[in-house]
Amino acid sequence: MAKWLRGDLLKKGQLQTQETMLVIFIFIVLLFVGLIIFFRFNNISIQTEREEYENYKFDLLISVFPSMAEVSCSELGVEGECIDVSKLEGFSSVSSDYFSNKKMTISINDVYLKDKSWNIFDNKPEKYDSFRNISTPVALYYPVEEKYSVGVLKLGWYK
Amino acid sequence: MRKGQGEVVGLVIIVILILVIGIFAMRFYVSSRSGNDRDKFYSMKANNLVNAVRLVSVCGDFSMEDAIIACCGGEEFCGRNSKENCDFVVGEIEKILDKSLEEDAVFEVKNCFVIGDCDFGIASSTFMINSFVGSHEMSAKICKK
Repeated sequence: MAKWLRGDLLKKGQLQTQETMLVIFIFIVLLFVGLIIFFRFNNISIQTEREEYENYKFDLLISVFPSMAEVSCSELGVEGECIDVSKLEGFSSVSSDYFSNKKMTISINDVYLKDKSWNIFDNKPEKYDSFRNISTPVALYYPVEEKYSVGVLKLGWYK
Repeated sequence: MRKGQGEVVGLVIIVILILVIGIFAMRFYVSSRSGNDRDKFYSMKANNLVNAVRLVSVCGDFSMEDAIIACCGGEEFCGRNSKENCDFVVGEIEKILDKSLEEDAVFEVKNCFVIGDCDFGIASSTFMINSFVGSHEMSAKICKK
């Protein structure tokens, strides 16, 4: 093979190798950029989902708390759909063991028969970013008078 | 521009379009899910409201449910005639709605009376109350702002 021809082929080969390396390099850079964007997006999505789940779990408390055996009214072992105020007073004194490290407040106000309120749990942290509160009407039962009233269950969450 | 280059540009545009559509679809999917969670919350709240109204004592051992049955059956209740009793029931329920809820609400006993009004809201389950004159369906709806 002629020397000039061999040199020309060598240059062409080198050029093709460089081109291939450049393509691979750009491909890898694009791949990494894509992966970083994907993981960041995925991370944000997981965090959003976690926050939504925690919000949902907190919302569920308006249904879970009144039906807890510790506070719900019952007759002959059958639980009713109301809160027994005599149990509330007892539960308030042990609620800190029950909810322990939860950063939240729970209180109930009677808004119909009597002007009474119960602070069941209050664990306000020194530092928090936001405070979310929800409330719901609940049936209150006064076992001594055997009367039912309407209360407002207020739940607050320090985030 | 060569034919090959034109095709590549077209392909890139298609890929970008698919990405944009995908991101929007994901956004709508996420926002619709959180809306569902909020609806469940309002549904639980509406159920709690109906339960609280149903049980509340209004005259001695009698509950609001008894007063509603008497009102819808056109009977006397606790020394009040039918009309007076219905006015009393509606007034007391309005008072409870006002004091126990931050949102507007509708309280309905089917074929008897409706308190409040709103176009959009999340309803509770239907509670059946039975009397001598028949059964009535009681429900509440928390209005969405």
